[in-house]
Amino acid sequence: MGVDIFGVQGSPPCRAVYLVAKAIGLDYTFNKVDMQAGQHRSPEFLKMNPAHTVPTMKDGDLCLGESKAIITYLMNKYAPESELYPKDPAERAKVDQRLHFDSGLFSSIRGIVFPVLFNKNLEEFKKNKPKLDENLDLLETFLGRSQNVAGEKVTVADLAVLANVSTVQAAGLLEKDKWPRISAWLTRLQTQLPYYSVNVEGANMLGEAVKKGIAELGA
Amino acid sequence: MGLTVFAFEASPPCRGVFITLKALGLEYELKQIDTKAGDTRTPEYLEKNPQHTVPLLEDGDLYLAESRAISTYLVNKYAPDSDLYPKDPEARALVDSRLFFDVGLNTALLHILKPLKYDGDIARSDAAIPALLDLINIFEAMLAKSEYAAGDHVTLADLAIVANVSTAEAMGLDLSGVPKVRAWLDKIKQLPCYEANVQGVTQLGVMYKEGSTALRAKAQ
Repeated sequence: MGVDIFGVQGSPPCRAVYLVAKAIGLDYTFNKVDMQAGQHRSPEFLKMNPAHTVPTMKDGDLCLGESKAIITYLMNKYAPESELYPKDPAERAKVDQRLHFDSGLFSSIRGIVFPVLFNKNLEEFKKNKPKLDENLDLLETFLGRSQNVAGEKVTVADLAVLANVSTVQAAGLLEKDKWPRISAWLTRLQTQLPYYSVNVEGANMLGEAVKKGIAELGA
Repeated sequence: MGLTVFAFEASPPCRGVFITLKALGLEYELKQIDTKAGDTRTPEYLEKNPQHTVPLLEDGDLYLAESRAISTYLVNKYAPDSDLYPKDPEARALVDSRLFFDVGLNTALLHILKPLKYDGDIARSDAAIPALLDLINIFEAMLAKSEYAAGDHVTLADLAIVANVSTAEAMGLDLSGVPKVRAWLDKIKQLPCYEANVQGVTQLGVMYKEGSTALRAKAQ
């Protein structure tokens, strides 16, 4: 009964879902997925989500993959009047647009994490780093146009981006003088959001592993 | 006034938007963009879309990038009762989930196409094919659960995914192992709105086949 989230702590898309659930006061059960043991490829998991990814959500008969779809579902279903995901079509579209941007941001973070943590490949890290920096430059531009990621108010787009950017910061890759607006936005949300704590352990865990890995590669 | 779309036809996400506009019966002005010529990097374009991507929708004061955000906006704004993007949270969630799955399809496609278009690197391009086929296999598994991409009727998920899957077909990639995908593709091709995909996908298919054949011959 209730909402089940299948995920891991380190993964930014998982943490984005936890942040949103906490933000709307939704009780959920966290189910840790042992990805190293291949749990996400088990027949039971594939039945829920053939794409074998985390996060995956189960709510009654509904099984859903893709963090952004889980986020917007939780909003539509459990907090339809919330300003975190506005109803007005144009305002909602601006949030959706940034949710898609965040998917690209996550992709570019994976482009760093994989060579550093798994492939131990310095060349690949160096090749992929500019893409992450480019996405951070874009985010800096967005934050020059409005207080928050998708407009003046905090929305689920901020929460998704927060899960990613906090990881980049914990990895030592968010240079303050290069990205002052992002740094200020990050500090503001980290201190002002009462539910931010659900993101901390995972961001630090993954961020510090990446930091260590970068140092070991001599990058 | 009215809708303007900045795009080029070969691009799958652009075609996803064209298909959706046609399905909704919405008129729009097309502004042709040549990314190789730097059209998305002019100060004017960057002001409208700092992400320097296509497609870009202009609707009055609103500038919207990200094809799938554009498609859902078009339904929410102009056809809020349409079955293409149901209002029921559970049904809508399934469409959204498939739309984000489609992002992965497009990324995998770009990993094949970009090395060809910009670097002439056939080895890197060919090496990226298995990853796309892997995702198409996952889509096959998804179609075991429902007749269409996100349920028992056509939704925005079908209109987005078909832009990418039809591209894989036009490129001549091996779809022999995915009968449900092939049957689904045939069904979607029958929809009147699919017409908006045809010119662009043909163009891209020819470009890929000619480009890749030439480069493989050179490599031998």
